[in-house]
Amino acid sequence: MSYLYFFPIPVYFFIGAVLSIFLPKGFIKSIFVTLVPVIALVAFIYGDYTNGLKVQFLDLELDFMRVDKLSTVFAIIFCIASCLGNIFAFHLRDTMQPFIALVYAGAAIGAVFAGDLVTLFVYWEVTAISSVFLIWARGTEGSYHAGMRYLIIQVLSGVVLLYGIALFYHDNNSIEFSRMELGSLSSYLIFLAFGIKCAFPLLHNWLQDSYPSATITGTVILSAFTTKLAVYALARGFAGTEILIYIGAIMTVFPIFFAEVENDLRKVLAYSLNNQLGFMVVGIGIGTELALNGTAAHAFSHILYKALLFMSVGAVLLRTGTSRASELGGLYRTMPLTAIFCLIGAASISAFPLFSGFISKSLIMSGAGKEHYQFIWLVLVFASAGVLSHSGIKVPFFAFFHHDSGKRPREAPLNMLIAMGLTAFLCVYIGINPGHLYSLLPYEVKYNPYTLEHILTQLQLLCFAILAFYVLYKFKQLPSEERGVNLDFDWTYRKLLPSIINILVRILSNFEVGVLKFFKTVISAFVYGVYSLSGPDSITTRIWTSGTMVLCIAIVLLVVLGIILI
Amino acid sequence: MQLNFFKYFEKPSRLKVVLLVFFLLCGVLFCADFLIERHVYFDVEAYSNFYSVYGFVMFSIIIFGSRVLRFFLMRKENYYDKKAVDSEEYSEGDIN
Amino acid sequence: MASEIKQTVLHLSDHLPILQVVVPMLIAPIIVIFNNRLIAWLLSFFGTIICLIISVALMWATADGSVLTYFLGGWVPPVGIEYRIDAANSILLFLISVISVIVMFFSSNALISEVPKEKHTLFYACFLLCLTGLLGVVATADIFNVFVFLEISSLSTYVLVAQGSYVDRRALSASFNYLIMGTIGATFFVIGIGFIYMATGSLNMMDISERALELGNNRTIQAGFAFIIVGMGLKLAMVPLHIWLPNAYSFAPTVVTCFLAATATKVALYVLIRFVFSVFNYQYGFVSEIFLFLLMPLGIIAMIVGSVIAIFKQNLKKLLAYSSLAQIGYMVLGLSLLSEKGLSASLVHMVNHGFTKAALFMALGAFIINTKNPYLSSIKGLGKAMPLTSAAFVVGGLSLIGVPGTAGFISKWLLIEAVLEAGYWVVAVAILVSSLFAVIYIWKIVEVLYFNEKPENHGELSFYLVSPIWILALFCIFLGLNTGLTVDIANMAAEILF
Repeated sequence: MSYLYFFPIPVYFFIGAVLSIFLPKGFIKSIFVTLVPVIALVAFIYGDYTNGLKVQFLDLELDFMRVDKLSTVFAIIFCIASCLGNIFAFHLRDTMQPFIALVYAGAAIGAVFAGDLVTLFVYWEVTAISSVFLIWARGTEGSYHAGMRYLIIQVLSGVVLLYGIALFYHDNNSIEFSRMELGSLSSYLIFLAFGIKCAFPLLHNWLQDSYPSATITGTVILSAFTTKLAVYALARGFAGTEILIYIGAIMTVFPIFFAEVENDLRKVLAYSLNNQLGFMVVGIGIGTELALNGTAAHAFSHILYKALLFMSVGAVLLRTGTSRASELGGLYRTMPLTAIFCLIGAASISAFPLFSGFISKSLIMSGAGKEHYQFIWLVLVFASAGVLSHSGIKVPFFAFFHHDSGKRPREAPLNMLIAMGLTAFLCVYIGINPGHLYSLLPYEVKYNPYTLEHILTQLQLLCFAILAFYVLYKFKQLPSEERGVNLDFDWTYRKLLPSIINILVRILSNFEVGVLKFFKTVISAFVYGVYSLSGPDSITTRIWTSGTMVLCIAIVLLVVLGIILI
Repeated sequence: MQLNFFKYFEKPSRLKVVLLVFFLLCGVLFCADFLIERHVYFDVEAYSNFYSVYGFVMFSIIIFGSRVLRFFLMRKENYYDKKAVDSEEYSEGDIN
Repeated sequence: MASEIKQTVLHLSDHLPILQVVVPMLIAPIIVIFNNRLIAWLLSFFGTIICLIISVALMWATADGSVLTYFLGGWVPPVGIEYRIDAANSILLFLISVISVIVMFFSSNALISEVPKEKHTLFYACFLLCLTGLLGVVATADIFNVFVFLEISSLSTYVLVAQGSYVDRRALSASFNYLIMGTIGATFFVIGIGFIYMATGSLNMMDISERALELGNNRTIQAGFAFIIVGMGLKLAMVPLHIWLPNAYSFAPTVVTCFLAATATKVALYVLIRFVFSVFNYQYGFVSEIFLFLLMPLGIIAMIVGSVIAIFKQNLKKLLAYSSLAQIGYMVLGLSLLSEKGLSASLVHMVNHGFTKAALFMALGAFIINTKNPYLSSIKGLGKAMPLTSAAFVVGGLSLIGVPGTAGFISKWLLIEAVLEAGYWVVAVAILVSSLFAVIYIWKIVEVLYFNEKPENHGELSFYLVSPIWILALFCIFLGLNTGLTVDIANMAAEILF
């Protein structure tokens, strides 16, 4: 069997993806795509990749399988997430989505194992280009545009990365992907590319724009990979870069407010995802062993509970046709299991003791505490209360409880229940047995989350926040659920930029007309120059007479002779 | 219909019991803070019941802050585009 | 002398350099004598395959950096004509031969839709003559011989382009314009040769370079260089001497466009490279001045302007033609750096772009066989009706953009590396910007191909048309993954030339 282990892990996914095309739609295909991640995971666990998988390409040394503890933990959770996502999508009778789901997961895992920047870049772009089809699969005009915006930003991140890599290679004559210092232009570009994918503040809107626009199953799959890949890349490349602490802190805070007023529950979850990424970025910025462990652990548990939340809201969306808080409510009557799973996800993300968020987030918090970042620490505690407010309370409360919307949907399909059940089980299991997750982390863990004082303080924070919620609810001070969108930074490129361009075009066209009139009356010959850049039938593209061509040649000859002889 | 755990609490009297238990828990947590000695990283953390107060106050700030935010930023669903995803309507089962 | 000839008769392999050129030249009159369409095609196909075999053998022999020389008729240079094969031209001989085989295969079914049957024999004869000319230009080491072969290829190219007139009469004026421009170019070239001969008294490249070194700073040679630059600039469609190219490419039959786009301009560029590095000493001040102040800006302008114009084009043949201009800009840019890396990038891009553009034009030709016109609006939804052809087009498009895993990425990477090595940051940005423009115009096509309803009356084409397209597309991927063929040989070539 050992020759099988020669393959890089993503290859299993790609082969599986191609094979899935030829399988008949239905049970067999769904079973197959669910098993592919499992097979890949088994192959990885039993495979021997200690020496990497190095290939000489041009004068570059590529490494397709750099396996160390950091990449291992991300690869394992990606395999698990891919498997769970495919179970959730078991009912699909589609060719494209299962194919894309495998390619996308495979590319993300490939990027995690990339030992050099060029391989990283290739997989980076593959994740971007494959994942957009999960958005387009929704098949509406709105999703097409959202997908295009997503694609443009993701590809832009790739282009920035490529330019950064080229400069990096020129500076260092190496493309090894390892820890780098911010300082040179190349490192800033690479940092920026990672930051776009990691949804740094002001670069974040692609996330809230695209995830709610994807298909029900697509969102679950999307939520796992792209941003966590960026977290991995930052942890690998920029661990201990101080500015990340402040970027991360901002990331934890501002999405809270947006999530609180957002009506679409999937968008609420997208904002909450952004907020959770902030915790991981802070961990990377602190850069101590404890904090990096926290980042890896938090990414691991985050993928699970965020997928669980997206799954439960997705099931609601499937059964009712909407995920707007204003249209939902009281669904616990007919979807009790989904409600329970959603509550488990909510408890995990809010970091209640015995749930997965509790044992991972506290690593980052104490990482910040140990390094005496008091302000950052206060911000993180604040953000923890914020997480509770939107993901912990708002999502389950408005979907399943609150006032009765009159909707009586059926319980979610069996495959979705199984997927949610498994994910929920993992969330609780990790919460109760943190040791298993801790043993996977990059550094040795000497941390026990279950001390009496830790449980007490966490419960105090959460219970009194819930108390505040109760009081405000009684006094009707909560923001009401209303249909609408809230402007975010994407307003700049979805509204401001187009209108500026409109105005500019109008000014330019007026200007052009004026200029043309002026030149027509003064020097008509110059008009051609103004037209020359504007496309068809301009001077550069129309059929020239031979005489003009010859004139052109003569001029060039004169120039050449001039340069040489003078 | 399978057994529904939540339906048990539909009765207002039972719900009241749940709330009562919750208030009791809050009270216990509040008191416990004086009994258990906490190891702290920062001075501010050492104030008694810091977490309780911080949680309560911050949650309120979030709620009121977001209402201010909404006042400025809320627009109609088809603000960006008539056919934007935000304003799409579906009925049961016809979304994929 | 006689003993030398006797010796060479014994080994066929010693004659490979001349056989490479002579085989198609001899087949051309034979097929005219037979005057049968099928025989003409069979013989031409056979001839191109022989060329391919020879070129592979030559590449094999020169891959280690050795140089094969062949004295025509046993006459020793500088009196006699010398053929000289090294890594630099063997890779181009290979490119030309491969493309000619694939195009020949494609033409068996494709030509009939554009050229009437009774003209096919002559068409193939012209095609072979054009092939002869291109191979000859590359193989020879005698500058007058270069001119002769250049004219052979050009004259037959004019005829080939004019064959498009059965579909669109504008092909005639395009061909006529091309003829005038080409002739002026050739004239300039021959004037340049005249100047050089006047100053040095020799026509052999190696000999000239030695004698020129002795002459030092000679005004006659410099004037000759100027004429050669302009002449070759015309032939290789360097902006602003490119005006003949878009029309010639878009009105010529698809088969011809494929072949020309992949080979003709590259050969002209090769001649320029040869002259700069083997004939003139590139370290002369005047050479580097020309390259720095003229060729580099022109290359950059071509890169940007060609891509921008391509974005606006609705006629897909023209779109690809303008994209070719941009790509020629890349090659000129690589050359103008006058560094080993730049030269090698330029050579690799010649080969990679040859395959890429041939794949794109051929796929486009397949679309046109179905839709009868080259406009963007007519290929709506063909992605679903012709999945294989469209997929090949996408592969070609990706390679044109320079997506990793395709041939285009390799050459762009090398080029950016070379540019950065020379310290021109802005130019590297220009390359990226131009690539972004390429994304736009390729995406424009892909969107129309795939994001429209499937048309009713079009279906996938026959195996004979689809397979050559896919062979080229696979070349695009193969050269993107396995760089041994191109990069190593190009590095070797750059080393030899320097």
